[in-house]
Amino acid sequence: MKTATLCLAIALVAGLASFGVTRWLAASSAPADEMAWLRKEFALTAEQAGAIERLHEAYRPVCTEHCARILEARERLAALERTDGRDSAAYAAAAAAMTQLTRTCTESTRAHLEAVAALMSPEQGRRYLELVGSKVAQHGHAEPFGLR
Amino acid sequence: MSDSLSTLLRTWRHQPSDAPDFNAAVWARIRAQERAASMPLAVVRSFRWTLPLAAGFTVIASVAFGVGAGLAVSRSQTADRMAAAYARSIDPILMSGSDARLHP
Repeated sequence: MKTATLCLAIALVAGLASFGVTRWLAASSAPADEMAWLRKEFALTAEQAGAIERLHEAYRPVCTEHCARILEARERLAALERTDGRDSAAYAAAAAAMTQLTRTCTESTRAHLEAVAALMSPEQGRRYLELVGSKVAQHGHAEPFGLR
Repeated sequence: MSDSLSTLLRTWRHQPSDAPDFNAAVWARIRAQERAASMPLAVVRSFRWTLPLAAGFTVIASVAFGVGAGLAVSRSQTADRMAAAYARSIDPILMSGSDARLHP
């Protein structure tokens, strides 16, 4: 009985230790950047990875511009709130412009995600949209991303 | 009538004769119980050589389970973290959040 208890205790300690060591090793071998992760996670071929990288490069200026416009619109809203208040017509117009800009950005991000997914195999593309789509801000969950 | 019945009942004594095999039957039952009780122990004793094997197998199975669970948890957490980082790199709304900076 004592031997069996000791054996179970050793097994438990060994299991916990192997869990900890595996987690530590896995953490130290995490992908260097997002592109490396994409390649590994979605089993991209060299051609697919190259095409996706080109797509990202092409999208980067669009994303930068949207980002700058959002920051600008946000600052404008904050300034109008301070000077004219939330009930002013100028603030309402700026808020409407912000909503429109947000919609534009969301659509643009969505189109980019779908373009990237289209370069993957159908199964991986679906997985990509599920995984990344859920992290992207304000996409309409009623309208899930889909492959074109 | 009732007086004679009462008298009869008062004087009646039952004297059963000894069962000739009573002791033997009791001992036979005791021995049978002991045999039944010692059966699992006997089985364990006859397979005693497998106990170190079973212990080794338990430890190896536990290590395998630990490695598998560690890999699964790490993979899931890495995927979640990297997907969030990737989403931040392509979504201007996330990028321009409270700690957002413009593209380098």
